[in-house]
Amino acid sequence: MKKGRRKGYLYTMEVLLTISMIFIVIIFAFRSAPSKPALEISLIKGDAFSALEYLDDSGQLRPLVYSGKPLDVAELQIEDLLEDILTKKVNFEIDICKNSDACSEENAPENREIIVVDYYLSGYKKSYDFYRVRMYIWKMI
Amino acid sequence: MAGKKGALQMDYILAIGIFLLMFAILVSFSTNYLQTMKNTLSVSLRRGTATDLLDSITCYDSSWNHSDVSSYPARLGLKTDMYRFFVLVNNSQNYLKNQSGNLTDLTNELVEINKTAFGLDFDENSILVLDEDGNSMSYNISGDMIIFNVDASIDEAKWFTVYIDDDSNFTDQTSSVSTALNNITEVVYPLERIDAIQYKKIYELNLSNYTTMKQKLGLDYNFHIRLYDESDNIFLDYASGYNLSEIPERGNVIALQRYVVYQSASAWQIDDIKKGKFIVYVFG
Repeated sequence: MKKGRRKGYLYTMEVLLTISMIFIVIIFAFRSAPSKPALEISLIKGDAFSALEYLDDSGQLRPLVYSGKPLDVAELQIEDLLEDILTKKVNFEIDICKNSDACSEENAPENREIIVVDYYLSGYKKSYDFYRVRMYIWKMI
Repeated sequence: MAGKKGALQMDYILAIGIFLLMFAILVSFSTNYLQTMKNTLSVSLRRGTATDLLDSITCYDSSWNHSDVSSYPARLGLKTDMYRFFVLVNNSQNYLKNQSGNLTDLTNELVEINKTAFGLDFDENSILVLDEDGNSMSYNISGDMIIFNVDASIDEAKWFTVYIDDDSNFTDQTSSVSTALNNITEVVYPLERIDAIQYKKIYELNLSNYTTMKQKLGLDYNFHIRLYDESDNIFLDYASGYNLSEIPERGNVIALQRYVVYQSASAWQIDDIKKGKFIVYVFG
């Protein structure tokens, strides 16, 4: 009689064990929702380069860089132009470095994932000075 | 004994009940997961199609004839290689052809640009000469020379921007240019290549059959392409008039935009290089 009682008890334990295993499998398999592929960084980088290329093709970029004015003035003017071109979901900073000078990173935030895009200019009209227009771009929170 | 049998049946009932409950939970999870995956994939696929389409129309160069469906491209490209260079006309002593001559105010000074010096074939009818204010200027072709007239006061320096296209369908727009006065040595600066949307391709796209184009491009989704000018007026609207290409008011619609420069013309004579933006819609 005791044996018969234990059988039912054992069967119930088996079921509970099976259910627990199923639960564990479900939790591990479905615990995180499917996420979009992480394309955002490459898309932002592509958009940033396209924006600078557009400014160059439309004849707006080089006159500002080679204007002879202080580079920080040109940087602000380029940023104004880019405001209307780039999506509002990103923030950006422009730095212009002449010849082999290192570009300043002081305006880029320290605690964010920064994407860097370089656009090189080798001359404009009478000037053959080399400039690098660097864009630091990051997603807004 | 009968009581014990009943107790055994209770075990089965309990086990089946728990099994059914677990099965229902599993089905519910799976359905939810698969539905979310389906939506995510659907958006991702449309986005991929839109990105590909936008990249190809702005970065790729293809040619076709709207009336010949066999010529429709497998990859739609509206870009052309344009070249831009600057010309300086400086009415100052150092630039006089006759260095011992005197400076005078110049009217209809002849500017000559040797087109063979470019080292590339281009469509002569695509020449666009712009003054410093962006106004189009008349020009002519004389042998190997592109010529136009300029007025310049003493010590005045003027810059001109000249655009040429490596291939296009513009018509002749040369006009007479005075060659009487040629006192100044103009300076022609090196060519710079730029990407521009070609007028000829915009024209062909506008007349292309949407259904055939979609098949040729191998697209699974419907699409719509618009080119806006700087004032947000629609310069190109492809393919308006086709039901399938009308942008739906509901559903997954992916829209991507990119700023471009494009050739503007009237009566197939190029009159400007304008700024605009492409927006590509993918849906369906």
